[in-house]
Formats: sequence, C-alpha cells, structure tokens
Amino acid sequence: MNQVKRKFQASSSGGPGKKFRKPGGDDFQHDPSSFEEELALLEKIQAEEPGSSDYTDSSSGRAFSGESSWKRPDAPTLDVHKDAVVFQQLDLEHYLGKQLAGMPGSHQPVTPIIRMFGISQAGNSILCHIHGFMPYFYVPAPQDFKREHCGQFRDALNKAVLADMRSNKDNLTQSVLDVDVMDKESMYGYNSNRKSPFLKITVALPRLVAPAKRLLESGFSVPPLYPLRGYQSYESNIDFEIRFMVDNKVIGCNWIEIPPVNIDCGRMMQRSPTVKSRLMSPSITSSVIWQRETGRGSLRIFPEPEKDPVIQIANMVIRQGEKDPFVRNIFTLKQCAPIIGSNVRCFEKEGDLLKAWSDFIVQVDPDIITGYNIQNFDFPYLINRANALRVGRFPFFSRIKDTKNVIKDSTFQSKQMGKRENKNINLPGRVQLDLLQILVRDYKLRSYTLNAVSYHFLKEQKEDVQHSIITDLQNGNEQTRRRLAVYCLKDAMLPIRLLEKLMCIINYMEMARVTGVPLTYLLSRGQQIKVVSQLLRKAGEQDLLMPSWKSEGNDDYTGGYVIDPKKGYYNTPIATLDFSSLYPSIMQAHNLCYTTLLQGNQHQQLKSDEYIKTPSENYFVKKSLRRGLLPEILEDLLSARKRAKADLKKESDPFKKKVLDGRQLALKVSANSVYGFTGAQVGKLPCLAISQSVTAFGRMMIEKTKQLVEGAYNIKSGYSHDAQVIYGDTDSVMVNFGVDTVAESMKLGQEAASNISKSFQEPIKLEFEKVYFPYLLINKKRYAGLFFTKPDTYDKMDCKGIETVRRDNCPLVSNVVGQCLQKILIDRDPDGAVNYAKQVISDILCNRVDISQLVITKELTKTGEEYAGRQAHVETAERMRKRDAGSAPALGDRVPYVIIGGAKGAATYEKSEDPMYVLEHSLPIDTKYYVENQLKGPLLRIFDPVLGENKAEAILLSGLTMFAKKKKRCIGCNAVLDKENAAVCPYCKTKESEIYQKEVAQMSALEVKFARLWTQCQRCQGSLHRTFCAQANIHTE
Amino acid sequence: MGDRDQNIQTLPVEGTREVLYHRDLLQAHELKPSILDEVSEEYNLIPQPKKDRYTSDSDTLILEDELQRITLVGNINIQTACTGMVVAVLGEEKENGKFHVEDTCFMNLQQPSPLPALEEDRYIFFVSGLGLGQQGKNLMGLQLLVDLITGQLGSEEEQKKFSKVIRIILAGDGLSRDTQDTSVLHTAKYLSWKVQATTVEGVKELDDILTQLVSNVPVDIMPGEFDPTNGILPQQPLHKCMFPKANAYPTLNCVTNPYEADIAGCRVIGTSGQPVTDIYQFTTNEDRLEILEETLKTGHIAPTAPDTLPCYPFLKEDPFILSEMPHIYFAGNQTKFQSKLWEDESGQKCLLLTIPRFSQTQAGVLLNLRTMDATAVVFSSEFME
Repeated sequence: MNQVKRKFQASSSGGPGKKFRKPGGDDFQHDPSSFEEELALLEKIQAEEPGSSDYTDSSSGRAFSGESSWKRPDAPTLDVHKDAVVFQQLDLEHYLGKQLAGMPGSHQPVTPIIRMFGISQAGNSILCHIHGFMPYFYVPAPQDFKREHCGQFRDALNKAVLADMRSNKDNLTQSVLDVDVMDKESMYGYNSNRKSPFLKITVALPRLVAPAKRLLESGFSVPPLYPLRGYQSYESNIDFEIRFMVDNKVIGCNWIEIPPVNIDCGRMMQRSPTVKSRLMSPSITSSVIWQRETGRGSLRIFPEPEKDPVIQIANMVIRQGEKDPFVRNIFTLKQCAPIIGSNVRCFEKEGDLLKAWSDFIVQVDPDIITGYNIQNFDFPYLINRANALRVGRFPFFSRIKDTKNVIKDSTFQSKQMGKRENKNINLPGRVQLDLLQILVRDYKLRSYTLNAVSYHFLKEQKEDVQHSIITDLQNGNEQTRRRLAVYCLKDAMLPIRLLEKLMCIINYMEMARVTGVPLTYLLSRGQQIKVVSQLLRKAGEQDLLMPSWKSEGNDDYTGGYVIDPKKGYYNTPIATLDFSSLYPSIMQAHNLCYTTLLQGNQHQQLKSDEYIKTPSENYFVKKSLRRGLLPEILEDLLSARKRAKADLKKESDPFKKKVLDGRQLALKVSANSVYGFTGAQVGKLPCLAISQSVTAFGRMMIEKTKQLVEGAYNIKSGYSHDAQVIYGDTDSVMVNFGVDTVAESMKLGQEAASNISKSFQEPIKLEFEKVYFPYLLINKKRYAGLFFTKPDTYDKMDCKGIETVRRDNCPLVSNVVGQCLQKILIDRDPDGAVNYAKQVISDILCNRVDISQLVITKELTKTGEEYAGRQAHVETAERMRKRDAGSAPALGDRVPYVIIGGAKGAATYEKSEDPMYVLEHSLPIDTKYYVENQLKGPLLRIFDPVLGENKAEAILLSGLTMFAKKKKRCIGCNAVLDKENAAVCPYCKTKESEIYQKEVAQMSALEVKFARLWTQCQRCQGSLHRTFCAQANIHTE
Repeated sequence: MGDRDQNIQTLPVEGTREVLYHRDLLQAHELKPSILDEVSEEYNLIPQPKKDRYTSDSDTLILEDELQRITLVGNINIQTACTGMVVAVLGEEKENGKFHVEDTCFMNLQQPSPLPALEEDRYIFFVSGLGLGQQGKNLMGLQLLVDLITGQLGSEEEQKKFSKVIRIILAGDGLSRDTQDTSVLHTAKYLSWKVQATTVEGVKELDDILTQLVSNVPVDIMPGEFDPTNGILPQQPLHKCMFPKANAYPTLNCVTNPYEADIAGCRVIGTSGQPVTDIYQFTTNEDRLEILEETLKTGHIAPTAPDTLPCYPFLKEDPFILSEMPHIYFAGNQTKFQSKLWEDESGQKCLLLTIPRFSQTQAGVLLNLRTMDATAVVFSSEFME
C-alpha cells in the first residue's frame, strides 16, 4: 500500500509527466510517434519505486517487475464483532446455493443468494453474500379474503406450481414459501386513494415467479374457499436483482456498510448516497488485446480459434482517477526484444501463455475490464482457443474461484439501438465495459474502428497492421516481434485513454446511482429498466404496486408539433425560444401520472375543479387530490440536477468536477427517458393517455407561444416590426422580430421569454437561448445558421438535419455542404459558394476526388433476407462475405461502400463495392451517381432558398454533357489522334513545350503531395524504416 | 529513404557503457507543418502559418535503428543535427530512458582517384538561380554574363580567361518562383485548359540565353525547385522539347539534380540547393557552407529526404549516399558565395562551394581546375539603374 501511494504521488505531481506533453495542450494529444517514448517515460515514473528495477527482464521464468506494487493490499484482519465492513458495490447478482447454517432464508435444497462485489476504500476487493431475500410478487386478494386462509392459499398454489414443473431436479418440496395479505394500491389509474388487500406471494426461486404468475392469471381456485378466477399479477416481471435493490434501497455503485457482529440482509446498512459516495474507490481497468496469426494459406480469413494461435496479449492496468497505467505488460509467443517501460513475458508454448495470462488476471484482480470489442471477439476467442489447446484451468479468471467462464449468445433489441447480436461471457465480479459497446450506444460516428474513434476523440491514430504482415513479423526474429508488441501495447493503451477522455466509468457510475440499477445493466439493458427501478422505489414508499402487463402492440405515436416552416434565407437575426425540459415539465405542471389517470367515466364522479382534461381528451386528477409519482420522480431528478450543477460551479477539484458533471448529465437523460417510458409500445407499463397528453400539451404550448409572440410584438403595439414565427419544432420556436442587429433581437427574445413563461403553469418555463443570424431554413428539421449567444461574436455554425451532420451519405457531401454553408453564412458570399459547388462537381466528374471522400457507410441492422428490398450496403456485405467470410461486416457493423461504374441502368445495389477492393483493382467510380444521387439533392436544398426556386439546378448542373466519354486524344487540343503512342497532334507539335510544361507542373505538384503524405505515415508510425501500415481510413477531419 | 535496412547492431560494452551503431537521426519538430492538416484544410481553408524556419527549443533529437528509438541528450547539438544523418554515438542509457551521448562519429568516405595535374588553366563556371520569367525583371546582368562568356565583353585578359571555360554548370532554378502555379491542383482541368502554363515565357527566355551560351561552351543545365520538371528529388533532366533553339547544339546537356560529373578528371557532385535550404530551415545552423560540410561529413547528400524534403520512395537503395569523396561538392541557389577546401583526418581534400542565387546577387562562380581557386564574378550593373 505504501508503494501504491508513492506511485500515486509521483504521477500526480506532474513533474516528469509534463515533459512530453505539449505545453498547454490537451493531455491526451500525444504525438502519435511518441508512444514508445511515452512507455519509457512511464517506466521512469515507476522506477522511483523500489523493487521494480528489473523491468527489461524478458525471461519467462522470472517474476514480474514490481509485482508487489500492483497486488491488492493484504486483507486486514477483521474482528466481526467490532469492525464494520465498508465498500463500494460495483456489481450485484444472484446465484443459487445452499442455505448456510444460521442464515435466514428458506430451507429448500437450493435458495437464491444475492452477492455483491465491491471494493473497500483501502483497495481490498470484497464479496458479500446476502441470504434470506426471496422473490415475490402480488395479486389482488379475492373478495372477502380472510387472513387465516393464507396458509390454504399457499398450499394450493404450491401444489399447482409443483405439478406444473416438468422436472424437479432440485428436489424442491416447497415452491411457494409464503402468502401474506397486505393493503396496497394499484399504480395504474386513480383509485380515490383507497387501498385494497393484496396477496404477497413469496416463492422459493426467482424462476418460479413466472409459472406461479401464469397459473394465477390463467385461472386458479382454492376449493372450497375461493372459486376459479383469474388473478392479475403485480410486479411479477421485475428482475430479482432490481427487486432486491429497490426493497433495500441499494442503488448502483453505492457504498455499503456491513455493521459488526452479524451479516444479514436486514441489518445491512445503506450509506446515504449523496454524502459519501462522491469518493470513488480505486478500481482497476485492464485492457486486453492480442494479435492473431493466420495460416499462410488463408491470409485474409478471419482468425478461427481452432487453427490460429494467439501470439501476443498486452495489458494495461490503471487505477481509476490516475493518469497512467501502473502495469504495462505484454505476453508474447516466442522471444521478444525488451521494450523500455513495459514488462515483456515470453513463452515458447501458446498454452503456457494463455495460462499465464489467466493467472495474471486473477492476480491483478481488476474490477473493470475494458478493451475494444472484447465482449464479442477477444474473450470468446481466448476462451475458444484455450479450449482448442486444452489448456486446463484457463477460463477461470472471474472473481469466483471455481466458476467457469462460458460464452453465451444473446440478442438484444431496443428502440434506441436496433437489433444486436452479442456474446456474453459470465465474469462474476468483474464488470466488462466494452468500449466499442459504449461508443455504439452513446455516440453516433461514421466509423467505429479503433483508429477512427481514437482520431475522433484523441486526435491520435494507430497503424493498421494486416494479418499477412503479422504472420511475417511473428515468424521473423525477436526484433520484428518487438515491433509487433509495440503496436499491440498501443492498441491496449488506446481504450484506456478513450475511457478516461470520455469519462465513461464516471458517467456510468453516476447513471447507476441516479437510476438505481447495477452498473452492468447500463450496457446490457435498455432505457426502460432505469425508469422501472425509479418508479418502483417511489411506488414502494406509497404502497403502490406496478401491474405486470403484456405490452400492447399499438403503434399510435405522435411526435412533437412542428409549425410549418416559412422556408428561405433570412438575413435578419432569428431569435430562438426554447421550453427547457419540455416533456418533464409538462408532466410536472399537469400532474400527469399513472396514479392520477381517470379511466372511463370516472371523471364524472368528481367535481370539475378536481381534475383536468388534456387536449387529447384524457382526464387526470389535480395535485390537490393526489400527487403523481412521475411528477415526483421528475422533480427529484431535476432538483438533483440543479444541485449537481450548483455544486459543479463551486467545485474546484477536477476529478470531483467530472463526477458532478457526469451526475447532472445522467439526471438530465433520466428525466427525459421518463416520458419515453410511458410512450414505449413494447414496454413494461405503457400508457398512451399520458404520452399523448404530453405531446398534445406540447403542441398547444407551441401554438400558444406563436400567438402570444405575434400578438404582442407588432407595429400596433409600438414595435418597429411585426414579429413573425417562422418555424417551431417540439420545444422551440424561431422568431423573426424584424430587427437588424443581434443585440436587439436578443433583448426582445429575453423579454418575450419571460413574459410568455408567465402564461404557463409552473414549472414550465420558456427560455431564450440563442439567435441565428443569418438563418437558412430549408425544411422541417433542416436548417442552418450562425449561432449567437453573445451579441458580438458567433459561437459556431449550427446545422440541423443537413448533410453535414448526417451519416448516411459520403463525407464529400458533408464537406461540400459544410463548405457552402460556411461561405453563405459566415462569409456571406453565395456566389463563392456556387463557384465552389461547381468546382466540386467538375472534380467528381473528372475523377479528381479522393476515394475516401466517396465512401458511404450504412449500418447492417438485419441480414440480407430480412430486408424487404435489396440494398447497396447489404449487397456489399454479402460480396465481402463471399470473398472473405471472416472480415466481412457483422450485424451491427457499419458497412463502407462506394458506387462503381456498371452497366447502364444497373441498380445501385449492383454497383456497390468495398472501397478497399475498388482500390486494389482500380475499378472506376460511378461519378454520375455521386453527382446525381449524392450531391444534387443536398446542394439544391441549400441553394434553392438562397438563389430562388429551381434556379439552383440550372446554375449548378448545367453543361454536364461536357463530360462525355474520352478517347485517345491530343492532350493539347483534344483532337482525336491517328498515331498510337503520341501525346500531341501534328498541329500541337509546335506547342509541345508549353503543353509539356503544363503537364509537368501538375505532376510535380502531385509528387510533392505524395511525398509529404508518405512521410506523414512514417511520422505516425514512429519509424523511418519500413512502412507497413495498411490503414485504409486515415482521418483528417 | 524508404527502407534503410542494413546491419545495425547494439553492442553492449563494458557494463553500462554502450556503443550504438545507428543509421538515422530524427529530429522531432513541434512546428513542422503537417500535410494531414493541410489536406484537411482543403475543406476548411485555414492556412497554416508559413515560416522560414521551423526550429524551436522544444525540439528533440531521437536516434533510430530499425527497431527502436531513443531520445538523445548530452554531447550533441540538437539544434544543428538534422533528421536522416547517419551517425554512431558513444554513451550510455540513463534510467530515464534517454541516451547520454559522449561522442559521435560519422562514416568515412572512400578515397577518390587523384586529381590529374593540369598544365594550364581550365575553368568551370557555376551559376544558379537565373530566375527568368519574373515580371519586370531587368535582364542586363544576365546579358553581361552571356556576353562575357561568349567573349563579346571585357578586357583582353578577361576574354582570354573566359575562353578557357570548358563547362558551364547551371545549378538549377533557371526560372523564378513567380512562375509557380499553386492553383494547379485545385482548379478543374476544363476550367483551365485554355490557360497557358505560367512557365512558358520564362522557358522561352531561358531557351534564348541557352542558345547564346551553348553555341560557345558546353552547358550542363540542372533543374531546380522552380523548374518545369518533376518536383521531388532526384529531379529528372529538363525536357529538351522545351528548348527548341538551344537543342540544335549538341553542347546543351540537360542533367539531373543532384548531378555528378567528371570534368577533366575532376569529380564534381552537387545539387541545386534544396537539401541545404531544407536543413537550414530545420536547424539553427546559420552558415550554409557549414551545412554543406555537414552533409559531406555524414556522407549523405540529402539527409532530410524524404522527411521534410520530398523525394522519390526508393525501396532498395539510397542514391543520395556518397560512397566516394568528390573533388568538388557544390550547392546552388544559396544566399552568398562561400568556398572552403575541406580536409578530413586522412588528408583527403574536397572543395566545397555554395553558389549564390544569380537573380539576387548577380554573381556566378569561376573555378580554376588547376589551382582549385574559386572566385565570385559579380556582374554589377550600377549604371543600369
């Protein structure tokens, strides 16, 4: 521990670390070539620790460098009668086991036990088993149910459930443990605040909930007391873990204190999350990666675990909150030359390598494991490979000693993500944060390759080493393997840098805390579970029960309201008025909730001032009768967000700042997802009445705002111009006040916002946010403008729905459109924009555009058969699969393709092709497609409002016929040549010198460009020798 | 060079002391302009700051063999060393991962064949940077030069002297920078197909000058940075079709850059100056003759190629490596005339010459092969103004 501390000081003091960072620059922006130096430098920092001087030792037999420095501290001796155990819980799950003597719980042969994995402040890893928590659910009690009949009801149900079981391999004698009667209330609909009796049915195992519920719902009788009837079940579709967390007020990643003497569920203490949990305990992140070697015969085939060996695995281990990893090692097959700053362990046998790696993971004991696509590729591959090699105890690197890690396939579907096929590996106790999954979930990018992502976020590129070269390097000498190892280490380093840069761990932990679900759920589950968890917590306080409904497949969803845009190019400032958190505030203001919903004719029994009628003809009771759950949840979330934001302002410690910022973001996202929950068709508890009322209120408010603005700000009322609402969408309206300067527009905007807010119910608030000047309104949800928040200078160019931000076209389109918009909006030079567009069109037709600009990417969400029509990206993926099954895009990947020239009239999907294949085979690009189908639409859309309807096409796309087919012609005058092998016609012969000079000037310029790009590769690779990078997609944004 | 794969070894000597035989030095420049930025800036149009020199105090020197890199500190001048120099260093690696240099050493060049003793004076006349095609350029100085060489000017003595000039070497940049057309990559061909190349006028003038010269003396014309040939080293000879008049004489000799020639038994090697100018930009060395000397010492004509100096990607061999010591080693298009008789430890001699840019200095260099005396000839034309 002592050493750990020393290390921490050394790296946080910043002294040595500063040297290679650019002064004042972003900490993550390393010169790409400096990776090795960086490793060396890390070593220097660590070298200050005693006992780690043998870092270059590469013999396999010797101990790790500084092993003592990264081992977990020894567990303190614990006096169970005096010492409390305090730890931060990271993962929580249940397993089936035997009841322990003296522990509560059922006496059945197997019983569910909750286990929590966590870490103490001192860095000890802690596992806590919790006995005695049993799964249960509710049904309404039959009429005139008597408490003394509970036992009979239980026995009858028990019998039915046991009879229903196909086999009873666990030898259960009691499936239903208990039936109890309690006064509760259904959450759905207003019940005049009356509670009614419910039966709480406790079963022996979580998997018995479903059959018990089914039996009850399909009709159940307890002769002779209660005749046959169906029972609607409540809270029977809740995950066991969530059930436990909700009942015990445990939230994700919180601190748990187990008081001295006894460890049981009832006495486990929950530390208040707002006070203590700001401290993040040290967790270790390890990033694993390896190269695979492919057989010579099958160079381009994706590795198969049965044949292709694992040759290198690099690991980086970092403590959360520290800057640099404190373990950097690499496991290599065959000898490898030492790398400064990294521990190289060489193995002659692959089996030994895998075993050693597995041991290493157990030894270093990470809480969180990350990497790039570890979930779907790395781990499954390692496990399968170890299987193929019959390495004994390999797949046992989880926290639970004898639990074998197995791979399971799972499909996951959500509205946000579409359908995805995933592999799951059970690693109890270690949270798997696959960076790829996080990025796919949270960020919309054109490409999700590690290189693209690193460039996007870190401005750092990595080289791409092709499989075939890997084989050569591996079969070379220890120096070539060293080269490979450096590459491999960098690959392991990048995910850690990215995690830190994106603050994934912090944000996810905060999200887990806010919503009260385990950390792992955030990646493996959808949005709904978060709302369910919050809803249950709130409902439990008020004895409300959540019905378990089968979702109804009703797809009647209305989006936000859009005021018809008055399209055009506005050369006046346009003020934008926004409703802040529109949907949450509507639900709060009008008390919209499940619990306040009046069904059928219920409202007729109430006084007219006790309920409201929403614009969508639904009825809800007012706050005076019952305060809704959802408004309460929202209020908690939003006020917590306000608090977090206020704290954020006060906080000076950068790490705590990050935590707070993560928290306020999580709170915002959670608040917005509440509305989505009520509208989700395939949901736990959809309620159309709420969601349609919310949107209807939204519509009404936008319309009202429009009327109010236009009614108040006109010449009649003494203003210089008539204000005009030119566009409105969901939660914002764009107002043209007619004034000339941004400052005036801002003044009027602020005034209007505060005036109009008064006419809406609290907490709905109209806010003035920004001014666009000039403003190009193309269509619904498509506009661009210069964004002002201060009167003098613009903040940025803001584009919505325009090709600059969309991903389903080629980069050329967004570049061109962005460039044109820039010329129109910032330079105010529409003519320049037109000329630029013309230039690009001619460039395309002359094939002067780089292929990387023409690559279109589309996500493969379904397999070929599932798509109705044939689509270009699906066909490309199919073609790629036929050429090389392994490297072809899988479901969920983005498929890159370009359109190549084909037979006249051939469909686009027939002409799509893999860009790498096109480059390798020099296939011609279908330039016409790119002009007609890619550029034309977007360009016309932005130029039409500027130049006038239908004028743009004539100006931009005239004279396309100039580019007819080329034959061998004189390069001087374009006359058809008679002679072969001549460059100029006899007429031009006299001008040969001039023509030559012209061509040579072009060549020379191209040569220089080539040379510079080539050396850039050397710089990037960090070596002047032998460039072997095969990176297809160099990023230059 | 693309692949500088030769046997490179790391030899541990006496415990902690190490000798590292290495091929390449690499200077890391923070201010080095990046082509990636430039490529991307085609789309957002913010030009990178143009600088004369790209050195800064934070530059580091890195030694690379084919396997790894190490940062050099100690007895080596970071600011004057340049990328691509082949060097062996003596020193040791300290714990901080940096190599402390104690001494450095460069490779030895082979002995050239001895200079033939000449009975009488023979001259080579060097001139570079004629800079034709420049708007409003006064060509008087150039005409004086031509007249002097062709014997139509000067005293009898001078005429006698210039009649012994056996070769004129035009060391690049016959055309001026103004003739460069930067828009060539950015304009569509169909928009520019009627536009004449910007070099045409200059080439015509050059043809006229050459015609006068080659009718009297053999002329070797090397291409330079602004001449109409390929832009990257090694530059190929200017195409003869551009000189329809001068081409009538067999004495017109279009040659490459860098150029190696044997003139009256004398081995002459030189460039049109790009390597020296490039090193000047990336080091703090002010003296261009010293830079030229440095390249001779390290046995490499263009060490910074291809890193900062564009060059053809040679895969197998490096044509810029000097294997044998030349008798005369020159660089064209420099700021002023300098010369030095350089002698290495074994007593080999080599005459180093920097040839000034004619368009700026109105000067050429006359070299007597018998005495190895070089003098600047300035065609001052005070009366012209």
